[in-house]
Amino acid sequence: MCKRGRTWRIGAVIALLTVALPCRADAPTREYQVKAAFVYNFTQFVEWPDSAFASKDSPFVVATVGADPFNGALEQAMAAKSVADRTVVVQHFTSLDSLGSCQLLFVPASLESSARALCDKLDGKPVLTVGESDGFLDAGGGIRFFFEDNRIRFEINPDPIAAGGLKVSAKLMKLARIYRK
Amino acid sequence: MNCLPMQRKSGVLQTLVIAAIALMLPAQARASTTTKPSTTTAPSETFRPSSVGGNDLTGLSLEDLMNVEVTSVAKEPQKISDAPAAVTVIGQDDIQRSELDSIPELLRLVPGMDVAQINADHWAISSRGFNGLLADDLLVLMDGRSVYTPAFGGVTWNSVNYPLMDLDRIEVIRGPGSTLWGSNAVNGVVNIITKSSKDTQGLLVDTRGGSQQDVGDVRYGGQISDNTYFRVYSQYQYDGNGEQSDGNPAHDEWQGMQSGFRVDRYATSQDTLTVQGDVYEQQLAETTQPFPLMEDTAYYANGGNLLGRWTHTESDRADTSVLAYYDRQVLSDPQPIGYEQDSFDIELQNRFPIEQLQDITWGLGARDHFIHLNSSALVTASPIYTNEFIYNGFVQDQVSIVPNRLQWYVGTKLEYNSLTYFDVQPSTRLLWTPDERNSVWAAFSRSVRISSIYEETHLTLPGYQVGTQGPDAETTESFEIGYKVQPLKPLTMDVTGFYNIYSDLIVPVPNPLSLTEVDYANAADAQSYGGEMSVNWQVNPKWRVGASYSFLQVHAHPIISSPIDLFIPPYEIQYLAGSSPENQFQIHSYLDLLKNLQFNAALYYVDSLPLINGITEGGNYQSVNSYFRLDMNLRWQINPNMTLAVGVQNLLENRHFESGSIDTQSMPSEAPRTFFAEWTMTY
Repeated sequence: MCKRGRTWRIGAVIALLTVALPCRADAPTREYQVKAAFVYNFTQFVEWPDSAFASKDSPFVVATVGADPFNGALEQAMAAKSVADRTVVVQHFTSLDSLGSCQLLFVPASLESSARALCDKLDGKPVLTVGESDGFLDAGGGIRFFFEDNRIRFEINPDPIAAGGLKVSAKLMKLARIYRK
Repeated sequence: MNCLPMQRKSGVLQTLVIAAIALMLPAQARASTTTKPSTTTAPSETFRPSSVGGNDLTGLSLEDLMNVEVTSVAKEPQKISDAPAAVTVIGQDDIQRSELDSIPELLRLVPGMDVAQINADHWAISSRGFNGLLADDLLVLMDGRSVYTPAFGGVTWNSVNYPLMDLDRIEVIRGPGSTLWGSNAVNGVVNIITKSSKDTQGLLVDTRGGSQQDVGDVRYGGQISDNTYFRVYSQYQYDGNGEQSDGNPAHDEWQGMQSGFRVDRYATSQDTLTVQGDVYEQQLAETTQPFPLMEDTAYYANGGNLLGRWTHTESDRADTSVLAYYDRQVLSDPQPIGYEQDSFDIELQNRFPIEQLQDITWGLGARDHFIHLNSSALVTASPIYTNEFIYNGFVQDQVSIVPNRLQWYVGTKLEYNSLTYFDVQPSTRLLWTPDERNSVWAAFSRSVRISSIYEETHLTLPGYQVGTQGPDAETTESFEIGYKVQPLKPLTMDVTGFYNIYSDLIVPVPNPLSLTEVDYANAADAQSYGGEMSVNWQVNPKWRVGASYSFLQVHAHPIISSPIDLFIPPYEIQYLAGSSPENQFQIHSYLDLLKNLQFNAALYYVDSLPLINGITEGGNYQSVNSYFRLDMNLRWQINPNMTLAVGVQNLLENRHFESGSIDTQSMPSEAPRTFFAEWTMTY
């Protein structure tokens, strides 16, 4: 009886641990907390044309496509924020085909292979694409995160951004690495 | 007593001068910002990553965000130092919170590193054994420039300085790094890396005064053009007398001044050019004994360097860099020996991928040391001039056997030097990452230590000169194993074990026919084993705790290959085995009491040295006892531009010996309890 009680308790502890561990794993990582804060900053230092929005009251939509690596960090960063007096909405699109209207689109590294197709699709549209894979700017993306000395830096590809009618502030350009083909 | 060139008063005077400069400079800086309103970039130093702690970082400026350290094992471009090995990184947060006041002192934070201050101006620092003033198995580089001197085989630590706020990090590899870094990286590599001048814009004034040390740093960083940045700095340092056992001053105080600059040009998105240089001048004093007993012997050190580096980055997996430098070191200290050294170095390194599965790193280098050993009334060196040149090449292949799971590193260094000729230093490492929270690695390396000029040159007392053939290089075979685990997100653990086989160790062999002559010969071997364990725990956003423990055992034996080897004194062999502590541990606590107020504490324990290892004034050996060292400080961030810190070091004891290094006649002194205050301002 006693022995059985102990087995039960050990089982309960293991069950608790296995439940608890994945929960912790789902918290946003430091990397994506920082990237989310960068994304917020991008919305403040880039100017979108009115044509980017359906109406005067339309919200500013920050979106991710594919598997969302932020784990809630993006919602947290954008909570109670505004972009040029518009309220901010965060959306997650599951795939390229289900892509809806947005002003800033984050393309995770997991979508590396379809980055070109995606950027072609958005070519000339007032959408700022932000990626993190090595070839993202070669594929026609707008801004790419990269690592330098354990810190997150970003690289700007001015051509596709200008083609979409967006204006990047001088401050952002100054802090960025500028992409040249 | 009074023949010392500088007195305590002059130290205070210098600090006052720096403080006066500090007060004058802000006015000028403000004046210049009004004429150039565009350069109002906030200096990055005002940011403390850990004081932010929370999850929402949108309150930070872009500049601050760019300074948040994020480690991403999967995506970070693999640097050569990221190879599976026992690596410790001391970052800016550790530097500030530990309040250790110099580069050698900061190495106390590294698990298993034995940092023993011999006296105010000498340190014995080594990892995994064989410590002493002549600790010759630890390679030390500053921004890629070797500060290890082949003159006596080791580092003149009092000359390794930099404003600590402008250090990016200190990366320490415990264990061999010779495949990439070359000879003398037998038991460890210390890479001191300064910040890019892009990250040190604006004015910084850091003054620290205490019962033992005074340090003053002034740095100004600015922009030359859109993509070119610079900084200039000056540092004054005064280290007060250590204490004798009875509490009297040990007459080993010293002071120094160092100035330097760094220019970084981000020429294109792929190319970075860096030019930097430093000059320093130091006045020091020591007491030598047992014979001759010379109190307050004044000596000096000076030197400088100029370094250029070009880095071309093609992708995260492909880059090329070229490094060239000139370095000069002058030390008039007869302990261990005075020398003048001019070094020229040029290095090329390239990295490229083959398909998805292989990454090749290779490089070529050449270095030339012109070394002049000082003969003195005590010691005659012959020959006086030595030109030691080293040519090397290396190649390492990183093979992804199972992508993201199993990596295999294999490579070798090929080196030719004019003292011990041709050496091969291969290594192979296997890294298994079953999941994102666990990694296991194992490594085998062969490394060599080139005999120093001191060991190659025949040193005699007056009236005796005999030529001799120098010893061969020491060789070491190292087996290492390690496990890194992150059981919970805020908790990381790192365990490393090693077994080293040392052959042909160089020891002094007295000539039985002459009492005045000592030769160096490859007349000993040794085995060592041990391990280091460290834990880092971010208990909550406001409290971080770290702890480490290390263990070391060394067994050494003489090799009797000729009758003369019978004259090797037993203490020389005991000294090989007993110069480093068997057990060490440390605990750190970094606590944010309030948003702007930090309380930091560290407790260190160092075992007694197995061998009688100190020398008292009377000329008797004395043991170095185990000691506890407790450091505490309070740091108050008054506003984003101003920080005030007060603290105490070595709180538990009035004073203690850390080393009695038998390989020097410089009299050891005891490290006293120290109080200090530090004031940091940025504009």
